[in-house]
Amino acid sequence: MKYLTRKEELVLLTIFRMEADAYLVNIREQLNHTTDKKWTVGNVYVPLNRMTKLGFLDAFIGEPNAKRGGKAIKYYRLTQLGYNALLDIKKVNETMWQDFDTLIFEE
Amino acid sequence: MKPPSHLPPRGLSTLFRRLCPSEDSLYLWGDLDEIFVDMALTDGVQKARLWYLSQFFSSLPEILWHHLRWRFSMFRNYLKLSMRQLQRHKGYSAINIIGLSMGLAACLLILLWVQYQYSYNGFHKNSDNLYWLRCYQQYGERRVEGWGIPPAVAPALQSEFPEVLNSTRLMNGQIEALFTVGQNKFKDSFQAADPSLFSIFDFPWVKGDTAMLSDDPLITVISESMAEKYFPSGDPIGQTLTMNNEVDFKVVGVMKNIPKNSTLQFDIWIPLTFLNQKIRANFTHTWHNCCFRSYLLMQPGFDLHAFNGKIFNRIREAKPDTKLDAFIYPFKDMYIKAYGVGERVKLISWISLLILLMACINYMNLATARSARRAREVGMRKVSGATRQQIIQQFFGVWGITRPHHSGHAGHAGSDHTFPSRIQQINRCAHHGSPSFQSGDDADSACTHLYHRHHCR
Repeated sequence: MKYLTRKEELVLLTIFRMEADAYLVNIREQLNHTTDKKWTVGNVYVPLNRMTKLGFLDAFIGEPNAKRGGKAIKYYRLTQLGYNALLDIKKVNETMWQDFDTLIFEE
Repeated sequence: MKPPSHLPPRGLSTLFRRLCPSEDSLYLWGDLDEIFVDMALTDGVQKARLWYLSQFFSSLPEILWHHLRWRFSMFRNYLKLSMRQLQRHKGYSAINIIGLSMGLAACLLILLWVQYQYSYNGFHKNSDNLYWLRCYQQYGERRVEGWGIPPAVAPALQSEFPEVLNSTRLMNGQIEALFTVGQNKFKDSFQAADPSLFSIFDFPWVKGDTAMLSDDPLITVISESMAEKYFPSGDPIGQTLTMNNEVDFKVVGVMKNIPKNSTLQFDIWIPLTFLNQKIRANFTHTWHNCCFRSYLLMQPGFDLHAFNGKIFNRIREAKPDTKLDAFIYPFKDMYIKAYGVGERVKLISWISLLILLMACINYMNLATARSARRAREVGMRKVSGATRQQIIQQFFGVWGITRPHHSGHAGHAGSDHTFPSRIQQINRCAHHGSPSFQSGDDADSACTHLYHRHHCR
């Protein structure tokens, strides 16, 4: 089976943490903040679109906004499927990172 | 709320939207605008503009690639389904595919033949300025557009009117004679014509120098195939060809075999003036006897109507009691219009379109008849969220599978090699007039030659 990519994992986790008002602008800001990297719009949009199509995210249309030139907002929400996918990747990560601190790095 | 200067660059934003094929590009656009406005308020418009521009280059490729990949994965699914459909209904698919492909092939074959018909006489460099000198002939009540002209007309026109650059006369039809070379005797036909034939028309020589053409009535030019037949070993230039055991002709040139899409066809050329010797002294100087063809090379942009009047007067001048009424006719229309091939070509083109239409209707009929079966699949797709447009794309996609294979991937060695060779085979059929596929190097090279001639002109 396929696991989430790192990028997708980060985007999903961000949405999961934000709970309400998760849309591209907010998600991107949050990601910029937590990762201390500049995310382009495409960096965020592509995982969002892909995971919506795969069913990990639910999208619903919000109200139009004057700041956005009268264009509506598309909000995202985590689905059960997305939650399960996160759990899967978490399990893998935990197995892989296990005992990392106690392992001795030999040169 | 916001000043108008805080709008993102208009051209860029519309471009963004245009290039983004997705249905939710509107929201993406909105997101971009919102970030832009935020940035403009905090960091200034200039910086926001720069950011917007950088997003254009950094994000757009990623987004486009994403959509493309997504589409491809859907396409793979459609492909799998259509293959299964084909396998499941073998008989139906066979009828459908064979019917459509035969219809298309027939149509293609006919259109190639039509194209070949239109290529007739096109290989002459001068073909736009060449005219065929003809006269009306009176048969009782009927006035007919004749094909020949008395032999004295063309030389008189050439010497007296500056708009006539050159002219040539041909004996109408060929004459059969016995040709002897050493011990070998051959019965062949020759074409009597003025030597200017070779300067007006494009019949290139492979051996000999066209400067050697003179008014000498005892020279000859033969085609490559005749050269091979008469002089299988050795150079034909300067050799003698004896006609009817009486007259010796010196070979001055060997011309390339005349392509099949030429109305003038001959293998042995003999000077027209020779007929003065053979038949009677002034045979080629009379103002009657329409058994000669004449072609004129005209100055571009001359007045055709006025020139026809001049011809009329000139003939009256030479022969006041004549009823002869001559006119000139464009050489390039000769095969299609004067020979009446156009009617046949038109009829057959319509037939080809009809065949195509029938094949299409047949395909459509069968496809519609089976649509009930696929209704279940469509239902499933709709239930699982396919849009109307996606389903349309799926059904057309099955048809589109083969298309990019032929036109898109130029680097694809297989299709690159097979496609032109198929066309060549079909062309060969069209050129030989019969659907028998010839083989052998000769036919092949001749065909390639013709193919290049009328495609690469």
